[in-house]
Amino acid sequence: MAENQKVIIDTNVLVAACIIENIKELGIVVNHRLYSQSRHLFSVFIKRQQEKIGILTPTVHSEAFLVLSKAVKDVFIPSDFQDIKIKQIFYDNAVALVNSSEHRMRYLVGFLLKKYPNYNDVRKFHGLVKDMSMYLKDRWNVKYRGRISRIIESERRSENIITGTKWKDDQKDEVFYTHEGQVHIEARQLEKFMRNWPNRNDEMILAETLAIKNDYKKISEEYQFHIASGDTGFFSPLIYKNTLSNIVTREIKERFEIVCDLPNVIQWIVDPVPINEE
Amino acid sequence: MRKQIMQQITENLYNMEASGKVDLSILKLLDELRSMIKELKQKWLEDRNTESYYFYQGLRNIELMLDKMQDRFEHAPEKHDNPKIAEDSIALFKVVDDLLSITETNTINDQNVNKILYKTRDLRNAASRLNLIEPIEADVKMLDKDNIRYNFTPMMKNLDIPQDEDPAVTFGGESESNN
Repeated sequence: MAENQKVIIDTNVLVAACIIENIKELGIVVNHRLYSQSRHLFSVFIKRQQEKIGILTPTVHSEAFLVLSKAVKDVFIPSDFQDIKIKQIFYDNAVALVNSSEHRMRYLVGFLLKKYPNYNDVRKFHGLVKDMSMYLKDRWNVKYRGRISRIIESERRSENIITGTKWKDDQKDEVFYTHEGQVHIEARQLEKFMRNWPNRNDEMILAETLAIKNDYKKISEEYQFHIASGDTGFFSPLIYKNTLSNIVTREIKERFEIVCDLPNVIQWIVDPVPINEE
Repeated sequence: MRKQIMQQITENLYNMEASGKVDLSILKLLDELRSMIKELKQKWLEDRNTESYYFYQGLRNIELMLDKMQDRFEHAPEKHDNPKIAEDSIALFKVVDDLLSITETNTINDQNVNKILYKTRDLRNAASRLNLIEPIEADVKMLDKDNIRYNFTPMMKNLDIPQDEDPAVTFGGESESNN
């Protein structure tokens, strides 16, 4: 069992977990990959409560209800209602779903440690996070934006491998297409990253995490920090057709020594012992 | 109208707190407040902008808290909940008043939407702390399960957590469904 592990929960994991918990409780069968992932991660927090592994940052705590409300509203409220009475049924149903999920959220938050880092520290780290974001934005513009840029990047990567003279054309093509697939998924992830540009709340969560980590490091250098998230545009790798892009999370790891990944990966790191339940 | 009702309710609550006795005449005032909330809800239902939902949500939450408050007032003598219920209500009405003032606007923009959402969150936090939050059963009773089941996947996608697009990342290359 790994000691001194700390896990920051991203807003989307907290919100998704409480919605799924809630829906499951209603007897609705849900087969969602995040259900067992998030449940197992929270099971670790519950099982090892004394260690206070799970941490809630001020931004996540503050925005969770907003994110929950917006996620429910955007899906449950159609744009055209002819009948006010039917509209009211939809509105009441959406409020009931938000509120019942929020009850579950309150329960889950009870197992997280609420940390309020020093504001000056957060501001200082926020500058470093902004630098990283600008670097990724530049990479997007130079290497991935537009088909031509991506082909050039795929060719550049292929050249490093195709050095011998005995390579046949179909072998060269295979190398190129492999790299093209990788470049494509990286471009897709950076596109997601850029779609929310500037990622103010994600950047703030990362800055808060760094400030909290800084506080823990004053106690011991051995603390390891992780962020559990399903946000493939920032805190989680993107996997598509067996190809993985970790272009953003790798940057976070290299710059700040924080591992960001899906809840099940983080759970495996902090508590590799399988949890038998259900 | 809001200021007048809120003032009467607050005075009534302070009197209860001072005397240490429940005065059930407050229920009539709470009904007046409910009527006002009903009108505001109707206003937001008639608004064609779907963002009106957030204002409706804030008002509906006040209604739910008033139901719980009424229940506590009605059972205060037998549950020895006085003057605690009066003290709790005084604390909650400060947030209720703020929230109501936001819903009186006619302008829907990002700023007002964020304001109402943060205030609704504050209201629920205060209500939870003060034992004035609706029981979860009250919410569950309202839910349309078929609608939720049907909309579950889009809801997850809204959180940027797609169901199908990205298989789960696991060590050892095993997908979660194999576990």
